[in-house]
Amino acid sequence: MKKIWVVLLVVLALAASALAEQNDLEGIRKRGVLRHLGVPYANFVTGTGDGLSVELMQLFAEHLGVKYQFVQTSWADSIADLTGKLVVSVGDDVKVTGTAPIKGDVICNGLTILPWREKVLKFSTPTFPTQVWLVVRTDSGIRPITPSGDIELDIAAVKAVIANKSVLGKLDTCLDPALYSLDAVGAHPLLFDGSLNDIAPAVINGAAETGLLDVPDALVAMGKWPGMTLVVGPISPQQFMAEGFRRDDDSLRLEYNRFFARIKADGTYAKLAKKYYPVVFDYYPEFFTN
Amino acid sequence: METVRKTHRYFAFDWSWRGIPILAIILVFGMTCYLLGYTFISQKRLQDAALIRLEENLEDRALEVGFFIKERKNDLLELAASDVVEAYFTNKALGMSKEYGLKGSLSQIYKQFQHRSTTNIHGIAGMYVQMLLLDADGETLVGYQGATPFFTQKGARQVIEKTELEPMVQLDRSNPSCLLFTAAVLQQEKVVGYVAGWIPIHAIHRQIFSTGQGSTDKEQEGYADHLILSIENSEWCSDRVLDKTLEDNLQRGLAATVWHDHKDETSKGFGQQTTHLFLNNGEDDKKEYLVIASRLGGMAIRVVQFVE
Repeated sequence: MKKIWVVLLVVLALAASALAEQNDLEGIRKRGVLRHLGVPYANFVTGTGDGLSVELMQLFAEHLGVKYQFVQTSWADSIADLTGKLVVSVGDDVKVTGTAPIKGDVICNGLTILPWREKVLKFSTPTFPTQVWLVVRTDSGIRPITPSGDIELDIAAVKAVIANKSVLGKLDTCLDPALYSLDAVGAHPLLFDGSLNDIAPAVINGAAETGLLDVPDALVAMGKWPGMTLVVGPISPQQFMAEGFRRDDDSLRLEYNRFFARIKADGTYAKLAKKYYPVVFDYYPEFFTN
Repeated sequence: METVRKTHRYFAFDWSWRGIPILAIILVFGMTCYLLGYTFISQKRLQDAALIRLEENLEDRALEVGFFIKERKNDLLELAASDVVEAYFTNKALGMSKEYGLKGSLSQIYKQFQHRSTTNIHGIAGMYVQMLLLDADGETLVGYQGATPFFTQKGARQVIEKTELEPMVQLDRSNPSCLLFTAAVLQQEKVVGYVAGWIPIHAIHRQIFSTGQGSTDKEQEGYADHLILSIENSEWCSDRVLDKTLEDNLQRGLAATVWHDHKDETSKGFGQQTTHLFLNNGEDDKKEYLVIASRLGGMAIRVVQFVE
């Protein structure tokens, strides 16, 4: 009886291993399709068939010689759709709560590199610089800080502003108030149920006194609702976004890094980034300068 | 008595016989004169009609130039009063810094400039070769450049020299082949900045004077040889040599000037007056110019056609 169990376990392990292999670089090439997991977000995935991340993945699929397929997901489901594991963040750590079917090969939609995400994903080389800002309604009476030239001093100045103020953020994203110790300065964090794209209009509509937005989303919000939001200052130091891969899938990630280095060197990536975020060069010139 | 009668008869007969060719000659001469005169008058009428047609055509074109300039001034006025431009200056006034957010406002303005520059204007995309937002001191805040790199720092300085609240059009002094359109950005009745756009004169010429269907350039309706834009009492002019010739001829009395006050629907609201000048370049040069000049504020638009 014991032998039967051992044989069964070996067979299952081999089957699982075979299934896993189907999702690595070789499996993708055999399948002939790269499945891009994307959350409609800012100008990374616009939701209308284009966006910086969409075009980037289309180029990567072309580089691999396979077809491109977009698989829409959500912030809550994207990691499970990639890794097959249901996880929740606990501070800088994660807790696995179950399993889920794998639906894609790479997450690409302006995914910020966060410590807890690194526990379940492997990130590509950074592809986009970002930062988290505090925004308010223009008529809120809260005024922006004056930059000091020292990011830590600027963050402290912003945190001083939000004592006793409500701050709207989103759980399990880079806008999670828990990541920035806002409780410690007397702020009242509120977690938003809607999509990240809707945090700015929620603040405009008075859902909270202040809100957290990352730089790409803030740029989009300024275009959609000019003159209605005001950026107070930074809540985080500079961060980076990158593409998320399965931890056991180094072949695809390394191939992506090679591909990205090439399109960054030949200017293709700069053109794409400029198309969707024209002023990003003014904010982070060093990032796009080879 | 008989002799007299015969002679009289002979004489009478002789007179009528010899009179026929004389009469015929007179008739032929008369007919010839009539035909020559008729032909001359017909030719003259044809010439006059052709000239009037040409004159009307050029006048229409001059009005089109005026209309085009009016539209572009409206472009700049719209941009100066747009939400994104207003948001930038409001955010700046509230203390938002370039490091944290203000560049985002500029990004939106850049997009507006890009959109305006790449949108087709009368079938031509990229009419604006450059658009800038300047602060009240003339410092460039954000700018969009077309496919051809173009920048004149002097041109940017020129924007703030005249602080008129109404949109303006003038020649770029550092590059007189370009028209410079400007509009002030106002907040609480105070000028806080300027929006400026540059359009090459050749693009206007190509757009308005080369749209006919003829097989050759000359046959194309609306063809004009030159488009001169100059500012009254100013040294700046898009075609200085030709403009000076025209001015000299005016002063030497070689030109006839007719003023028309346009009050019809087509020119309504433009406050234009059109001058028709028929000029030649003196006795040595038989070439004539047909000039239609529109006046729009301080800007004279002269549409010049050489008449063979």
